Amino acid sequence: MQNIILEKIASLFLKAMIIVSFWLLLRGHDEPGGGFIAGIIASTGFILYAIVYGSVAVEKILRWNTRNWMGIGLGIIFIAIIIPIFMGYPPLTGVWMPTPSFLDGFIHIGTPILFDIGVYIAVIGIILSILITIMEVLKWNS
Amino acid sequence: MELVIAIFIGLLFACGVYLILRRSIVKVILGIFVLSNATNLIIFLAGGIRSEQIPFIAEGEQTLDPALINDPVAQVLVLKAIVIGLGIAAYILALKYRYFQVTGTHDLDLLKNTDQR
Amino acid sequence: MSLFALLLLPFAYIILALLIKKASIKKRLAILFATANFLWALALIPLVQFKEMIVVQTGGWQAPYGITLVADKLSVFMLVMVAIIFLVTTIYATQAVDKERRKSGHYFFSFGILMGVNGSLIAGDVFNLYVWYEVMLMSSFILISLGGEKAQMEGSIKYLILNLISALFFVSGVGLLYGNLGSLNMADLSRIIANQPELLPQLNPALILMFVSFAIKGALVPFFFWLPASYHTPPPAVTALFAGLLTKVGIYSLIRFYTLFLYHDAPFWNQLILIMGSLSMIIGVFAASSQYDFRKILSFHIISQVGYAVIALGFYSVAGIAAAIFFLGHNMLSKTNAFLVAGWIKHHKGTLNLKTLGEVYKESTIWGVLFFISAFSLAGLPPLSGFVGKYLIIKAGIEANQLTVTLIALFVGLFTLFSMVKIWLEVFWKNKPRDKVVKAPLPPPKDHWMLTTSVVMAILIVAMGVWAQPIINFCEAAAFDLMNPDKYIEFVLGKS
Repeated sequence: MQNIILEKIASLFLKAMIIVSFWLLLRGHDEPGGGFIAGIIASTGFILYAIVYGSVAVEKILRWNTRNWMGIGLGIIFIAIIIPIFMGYPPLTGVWMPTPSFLDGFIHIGTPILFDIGVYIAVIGIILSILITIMEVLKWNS
Repeated sequence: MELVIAIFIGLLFACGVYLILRRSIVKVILGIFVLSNATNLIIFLAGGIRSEQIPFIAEGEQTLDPALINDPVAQVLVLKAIVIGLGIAAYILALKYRYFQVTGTHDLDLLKNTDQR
Repeated sequence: MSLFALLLLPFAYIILALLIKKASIKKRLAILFATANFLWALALIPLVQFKEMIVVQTGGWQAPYGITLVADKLSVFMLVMVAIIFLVTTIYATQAVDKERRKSGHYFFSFGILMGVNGSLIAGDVFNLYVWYEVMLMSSFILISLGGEKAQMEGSIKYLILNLISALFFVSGVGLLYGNLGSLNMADLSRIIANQPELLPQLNPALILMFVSFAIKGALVPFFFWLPASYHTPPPAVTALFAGLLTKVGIYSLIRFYTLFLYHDAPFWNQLILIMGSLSMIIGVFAASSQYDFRKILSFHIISQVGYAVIALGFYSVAGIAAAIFFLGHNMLSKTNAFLVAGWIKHHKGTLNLKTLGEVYKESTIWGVLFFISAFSLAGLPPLSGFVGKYLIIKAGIEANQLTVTLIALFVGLFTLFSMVKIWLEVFWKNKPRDKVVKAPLPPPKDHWMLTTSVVMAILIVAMGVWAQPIINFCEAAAFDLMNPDKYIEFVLGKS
């Protein structure tokens, strides 16, 4: 598909969606949002990009295989699960780091956000792996 | 409102069962999707529909009046069920594609080779 | 923590398998993780004997609100059995599953099944049970269709659609239960029902939906049609894994639900369970005796054997439930080993049709003996484990005054023996039919690991029959706990 307007919009849309998804990801614990929905929103950007530029371009952006991205996401989730065990809590407990005073009220760092980041990466990996497989099998690459 | 949704769920179940009983495999798969959405709605309805307020504690407050909000547990369960539905949808369509490639038919009545005769 | 590791070990393997590319490393890691899972499950036995039950409140959220993981003696017994089966089939699969399938993720998805099975055995929460069911089902869907042969596709479509319907039934039941009682924790639900028995009639739709879902999963008559249509299509190593794990989880959930919820209305459910169990025994064994495919006979026998475990549950006494638990354990071992033998024959002869096979005993005495042990354990001959299992069931049946069902069980045992003897005669003894030419099988692959695992299983079967007393004692303690649901409730929710 050769259409300069569509191509520009698609690459802009991808960047916008990734920024929106980061915002949703980081506000997720206390307000509506979170890893899953942020991952879905980020992958909508990738989907439009893939339809316009072809799945090879998406693979080039991702740099690694989608399987590896799923593995990285699940690995982060795994780490977030086992951190509380070493601190003497039951697994999956939310453990928070003491925040420095100048960041007070702005951001909290703890295992729930790590868990959400893991979910975010894993969801993007899964959806893009479905998408890329479908596009390759059905030969949708333009 | 709950009555309307209950009737709607009943209709969805009827549609799903009708589709599942068809001969074409595509329709059976669509029937599975309809049924899974109907069950998601059942869980959603199980939480009860009380008001329009979302179950979030407002900034600066410590508590929340449970009479004013919908049940968040049911919504979480629906989210989980939808995610599972997503995975199943991806798999079942891939299976359908491969099945069509291997056998070249959509007809479920031709699927007799692995059954006991 | 002690329970959570059973979920984390398969999860860790899944992560590593996604990140690592090399197939040989994945194979070694699979054996390593399966061994670790087995050792961990073994380590739970002294823990559960010492502390009665193990409870983990994930995330530190107390019981009715958070997700609770509970293991009582029944769970631990099943966990150990599952770990044994899984370890054995993993090692067996290194030689029995072809390279193509191993590369495209055979171990990956079998660890998914392990995670789902472990999770559903320790779930203390109805919805959590559904989620683990779904993990198990998703992995098994993919595993059964992996390879994409024509027969596999047909089998997996039947398997997929009927099992999805079972999952939908289950989740509708969960929804209705939650709408009525406002809780999802099994102990909490059981306490609410025990305190307010007048709620019971309005719960019946939810309980029936869940019961039907377990019956589909456990392949009871009349919901068994997916099993014989699909179990003989994937590679034999996969069938062995499925036969050992999947239906048994359905029966486990039925036992759990029965002793927590259904016992309030025991006259109705007992009758239903006894009728369905007896029909499963009869129809399973009759259908099996008319088949001429090795794995189809064994698949129909799964239905019949599940019926045994279910009628023992229907007696609703300590002896009955203990017999059901022992029988489940015995059946997992014997059935898996029978499928392992079938896998070896498929590899060396290229077919499993009884009419074209013959003289296998002459070619390989050891595999003949291995099949003899597992098949006649299924038929219930002393001193093998099946004899003890059937003896316990029949004893419990006579004590519970259910003579008709007990007689049916004895009668079905005769037919089991008949169809096992049929396989034995047709495959191992009869002269090879000269007129039916089978296409030359592939050059025989190395099979020392296949042989080792099968020998280990056979030794376990004999050991379970000869040293049955400690296992029976453990099962009786488990059944005693199950018959007193107050104990379970107290452990999960704390004293109140």
